[in-house]
Order: sequence, then structure tokens, then C-alpha cells
Amino acid sequence: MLDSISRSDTIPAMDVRTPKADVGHEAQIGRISDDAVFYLMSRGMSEEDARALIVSGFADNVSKELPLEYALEMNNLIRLEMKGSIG
Amino acid sequence: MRINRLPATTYRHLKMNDVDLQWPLQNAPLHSEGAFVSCEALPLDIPTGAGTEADSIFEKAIVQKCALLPETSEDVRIRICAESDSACGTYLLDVQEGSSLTLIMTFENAPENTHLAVRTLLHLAKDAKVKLVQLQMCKEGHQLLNDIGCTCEEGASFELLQVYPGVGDVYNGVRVELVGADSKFSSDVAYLGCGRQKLDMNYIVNHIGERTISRLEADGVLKDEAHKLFRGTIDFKTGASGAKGNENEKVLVLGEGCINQTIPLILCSEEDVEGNHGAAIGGLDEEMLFYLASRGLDETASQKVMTRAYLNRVIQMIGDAQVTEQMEAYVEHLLG
Repeated sequence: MLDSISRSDTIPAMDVRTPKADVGHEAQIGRISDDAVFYLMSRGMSEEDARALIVSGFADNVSKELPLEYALEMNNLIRLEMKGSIG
Repeated sequence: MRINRLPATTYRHLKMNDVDLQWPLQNAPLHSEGAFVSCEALPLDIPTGAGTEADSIFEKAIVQKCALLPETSEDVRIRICAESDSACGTYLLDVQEGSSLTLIMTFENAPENTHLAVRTLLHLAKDAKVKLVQLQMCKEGHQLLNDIGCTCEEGASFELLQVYPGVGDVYNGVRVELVGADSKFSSDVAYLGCGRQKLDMNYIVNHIGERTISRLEADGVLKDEAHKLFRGTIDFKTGASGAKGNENEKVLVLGEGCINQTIPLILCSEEDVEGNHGAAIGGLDEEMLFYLASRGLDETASQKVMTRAYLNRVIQMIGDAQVTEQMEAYVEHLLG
């Protein structure tokens, strides 16, 4: 959660009708850790860049499966979306 | 009537949003034994897990009220029995500032095909603490509607333990409003579903106050053709900054004809919160079976060991030695 006007509803439904299946589900919700932002800022990044980098990390699983040019484009889009998100 | 409704619904074709309950509207009063005395307390309008449609069952129920005075501490045990085909009752607890209560409710002696409906409403004032233990110890073949509503003020703490060891259909609704800052709720549920038993559970925790904490843990075993539906909702309302909520369900599926449905919800309209949910559903894996077989246990014995372990996690948390022993003996009797 990056701001106070966003809303997140997670409604996963699992329907298991066999003992031969192993089904797992996990979800987490929270804000960006202040410690993580502080760590990146102590390495010389601005707060905006630090937050953008963390958000890019969330999309990492998808972007690393994409061809390089699309992955770069996606990261640029995230950076662009995050611009001006601080202050 | 439709009860145990999800606060945020999912696809209708899944048939998990609520449950259709057929329940007689003419109910005799419950027979309850124990130190719980009727006394004057303000009627409390507290929302419950089963929802408003269940109100028609409890409309004519005898309400037993208990107001706990400030800074007192009590242990209360109530034995709830049904003496007719259909019985219902409401328990109302107003736990005042700084007081603490351990309430053990045992559902006992319901004859076959009985409908037993129990509603428990709690108001916990500032810094009040309540541990509510609910144990199903009835004969097989009855239906139990267990409906709970609780409101927690600042610093209040509500702990709920429930054990359903597979002796009848269970409709269980729990709704907790964490209104005051630093209030807490924890719930530990253990269940066994067997035969053609139906278990329908709905837990709703609304985080309204700042720094509120909730934890939902459910462990269960399903055998034969049992059908279980677990709904667990943690709702972080706007303003609940610093709130934390966790829910987790573990299900061991042992029967070919079992139906396990799990729907753990996290609803969030507040930025500064931490919410986690998880669910693990599966049968006994081969490594575990091999390990137990190497200790001389066949598959049936292994299943009993695992079922006992799932139920005992919560039974060991009861805290009252006599009730713990009674529940352990009851589970042993059921497992044969």
C-alpha cells in the first residue's frame, strides 16, 4: 500500500475435493518498510528512487520473464508512475 | 434464511458467499447449568458472525445476562443442553473496565436430530480480558448454530478457543469489532469432519482502532464425505493505522468424498497495516506415512495419530485441567 487513498481486497477461494492434491495459498499486505527505504537512502538514493526500486522488485518475477526490451520498458513505466509520489 | 455471509462477496457459482440454513422458528429455551447467573445489564446491539437473518431464531430466546464488575476476575463454566427438538438461548456479557473472565461453554446432551442455537454477545470495556472456550460434546446427529458477536474497547483482549470434534452439523459465526486502540483478538479453532457432516464457519474481524491486533488459526481434518467451508475475513478499516492481522488454516483431507472450501479474505483501506493470510490443504504425504509406518503404525493408525494431533493443539490451550481431561477422553472415545 503506497498511499492512503488506495484500497486492496483479496478474496481467494479454494475448493478441494480430493485427498491427492496439495494446495497452498499465501498473501501479504502492508506498506513499504521504512527500514528498507532508509537502507537504500543511506546508499545515496533519493526517497523517490528508493521506493521506485522497491516497487520494481515486486514486479521482478514477471519482468525477468519478459524479453529485455519489454522488461526495460516495464521498469521505466514503474519509475514514471512513482515520479512525484513523494511529498 | 441465509447466514454466515461474506462481507465482500465472490463469484456466485462458487456457492461460498453464504449458506442457506433451514431452522425451526419455534424454539424452546436452552437448559444451561453453571455459575452463569441472570442479572440486569444493558441490552447490547452487537453484530454477529451469522448475521441479521439469524435474528429470527433468537428473537424469542431467553437472554441470560451477566455484567462483570470492574477489576474482578472469574472463571465460569456453563453446560448447555437441549431437552427438546429445538432449543435456543442468548448469553450477554458486559465485561467492565479492567475485569477479566474465563468462560467455558460446553454443548452437551443434545438428543439426535436436535437443533441447538446459541448466541453469545460480548462487550469488553477498556482493558477487559475474556477467554471464551467453546467445546462441542454432544451426541451425533444434532445441528449446532453457534453465533458470536464481540466489541472490544481500548486495550481489551478477546481470546476464543473452539473445538468441533465431528459429531453433528455446525454453523459457526464469529464477528469481532476491534473498536478501541490496542485491542486484541485471537482465535484458535480445531475441527474434525466425518460422515456426511457439514461445517460452515464464518469469522469476521474488523480493525477499526489504531494498533489493533488479530490472529485466526484453524486446524482441521476431513474424513469420509464431510463438507467444510471456512470463511475468514480480516478487514482493516480506514484509521486503523499500525494494525496487524494474521490468519492461517491447515486442513488434512483424508476422505475421497470430502469437500474442503476455504476463503480467507483480507480487505484493506488503510495504508499503515500488516496483513497476512495463508492456507494449506492436502492429504497425508507419503514421507509422513513412511515415517509412521517405520514406527509400526499402519495407515488407519497414522490417520488417528494425525487427527488427535490437530485437535489436541487447541485442547491443550483450554487451561482448565478437568475440562481438558474431559475433552481428551471424549475425543479418544470418538476416535475409537
